[in-house]
Amino acid sequence: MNSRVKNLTDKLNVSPAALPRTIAVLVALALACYLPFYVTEYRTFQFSLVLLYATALLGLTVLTGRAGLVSIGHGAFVAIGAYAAGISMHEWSFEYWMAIPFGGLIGFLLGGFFGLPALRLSAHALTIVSISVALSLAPILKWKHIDEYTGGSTGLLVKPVSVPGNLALEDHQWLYFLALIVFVSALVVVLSLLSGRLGRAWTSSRDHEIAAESMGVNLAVYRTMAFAFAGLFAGLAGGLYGVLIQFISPESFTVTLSILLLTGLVVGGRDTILGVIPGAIFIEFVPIWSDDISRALPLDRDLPPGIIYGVVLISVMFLMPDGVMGAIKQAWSMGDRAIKSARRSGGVLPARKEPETVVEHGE
Amino acid sequence: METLIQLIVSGIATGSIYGSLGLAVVLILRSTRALNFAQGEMATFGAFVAWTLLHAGIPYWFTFLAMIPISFAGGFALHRIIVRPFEKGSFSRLVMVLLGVFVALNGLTIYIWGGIPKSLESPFRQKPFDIGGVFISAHDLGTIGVMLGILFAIYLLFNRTNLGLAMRATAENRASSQLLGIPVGLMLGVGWGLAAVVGSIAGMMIAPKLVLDPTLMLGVLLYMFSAITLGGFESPIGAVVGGLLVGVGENLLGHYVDFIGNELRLPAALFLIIMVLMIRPQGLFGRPHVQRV
Repeated sequence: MNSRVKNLTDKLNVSPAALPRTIAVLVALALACYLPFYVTEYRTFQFSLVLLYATALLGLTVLTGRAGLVSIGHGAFVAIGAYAAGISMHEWSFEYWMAIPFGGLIGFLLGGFFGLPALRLSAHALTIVSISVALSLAPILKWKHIDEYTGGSTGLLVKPVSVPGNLALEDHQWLYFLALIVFVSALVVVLSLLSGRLGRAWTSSRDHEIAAESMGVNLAVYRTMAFAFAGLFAGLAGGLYGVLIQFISPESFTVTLSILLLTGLVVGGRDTILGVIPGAIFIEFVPIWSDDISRALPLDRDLPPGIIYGVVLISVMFLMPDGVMGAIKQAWSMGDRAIKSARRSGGVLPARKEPETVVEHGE
Repeated sequence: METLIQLIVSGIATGSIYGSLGLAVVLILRSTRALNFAQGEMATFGAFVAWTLLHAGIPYWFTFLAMIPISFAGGFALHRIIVRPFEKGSFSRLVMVLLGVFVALNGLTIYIWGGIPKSLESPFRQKPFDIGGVFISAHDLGTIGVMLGILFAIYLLFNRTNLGLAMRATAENRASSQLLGIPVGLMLGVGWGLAAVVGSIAGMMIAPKLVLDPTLMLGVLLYMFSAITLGGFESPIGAVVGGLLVGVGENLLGHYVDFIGNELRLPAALFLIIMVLMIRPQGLFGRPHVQRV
């Protein structure tokens, strides 16, 4: 291997094999930071929403993708985070940068609370409970005894955010960076969770819970943790939602949102962390695309986005059960194997030179 | 006292609808091993198709009879085209697919008939019956009659016919049934067709009470789930009994318990689900879930 590269990777304390991936991540991050200065205000807003959905999807990836607990109630936890953040700003004058983590905290606690009985529930029961939570959230939020806090059916207005004094940014750009900070922080947390003991415990409990239990994985604890972390990320996303849209109402968080999030998860790749980005892009842009599709087809009316979501969900489950990222990984590894076998059989591609062990010839 | 009787009768009427829909879900759960989330939307779609027929001038009871083969065909086709490819895969895949059907059907209903509510008339007389001072809605009584009739017909089908026996066998043990020569795919399709028929008729019965718009069954969905949870997921009798209990209970709680009133009926159903799953997860009529290692 090129010695200059070796020096660089030694200095950065990165393994040479991971170098391409690290560079890709840095490039992506740089592009993401550049974006709000390059595109229109509306686009920036849309991408802020993409980051919001991606944060929520991180939670769903942990819960449904990794731990295998299908939840159709994730939207309800986004709502809980949004209302927690909004109410904290109204009643206790929290600033937005306290309210958003507060939304995450409440999501974490309530998620864990709902996860406690999860061990005793079969898969069917869990899905029923999760969809029931999503269905009954709106009436609870509108309940007359608490509607002075929640705003009832009219909802809550959220104070607009002001850019920190010394930064030369517009409001919408600052909101975008806020979303980016939340998403990247959440991403770092998820990466460390999934690569450690929790991640392995979740995988084993998903794939064969009896075997996992007999190996000493305490299902109750890990399932509760899965729900808690899902609630954390959903709550963060909810807090962001309130700050970005500046208005929350029970109608923003119907069952459709939960199904939408599941669709995004499935499209991106159920157990892939990177899949949250294509999934979030899908969630944000499909209603717009469905309008375009309606216009392209000879239809006399607008196609409701529900049809597109449903068709996509079914098609993806049939064609690419591992989502976009899964399909890409499969294609990559197939190409990789094809090249390797062509090399070995002395085919068209030239064999790669063996690494030099002698001092380089003054390149 | 009169109010109590009215609430109970009305509760039995809505309860019979929850119970029938719950029965359809339980039947599909037993045979296809999937929770049919789309049951509500199938019912709504059926109600809209019925509306279309009625507004084309077809008399009510002809429409009613026509809906039976029409919905059956729809349910059968749904199973064959969409559900069948996913039967062998994992449970979570099937759940996602059915959710997709839920959303797509809902969208399709909005697309074909628009979001503006329509009215579906009741075939029963508008004036309530006056029985000793108690006013009982004719529609409620009619609903009870129709739904109980359907339930009885389904009971006869499953317990007194060979087709029913074959369907029960398929649900019980698919592999053995195949070895015996039972056309399993056909049986499952018939199950879905039946579920669609029950759904459409339930939709036709409940639409006059509520408003016929695409959200018709969204509220009912939760009550239906609480009915099958209370009754036991795999028990057809449980679904019916659970439905009746939920229907009556919802009315009584909503009226007599001020705390719940009209607003917290749905969360009360959620509470019921959680309580049942905590205290007696197999419900009233189910068998305890046993895991073999």
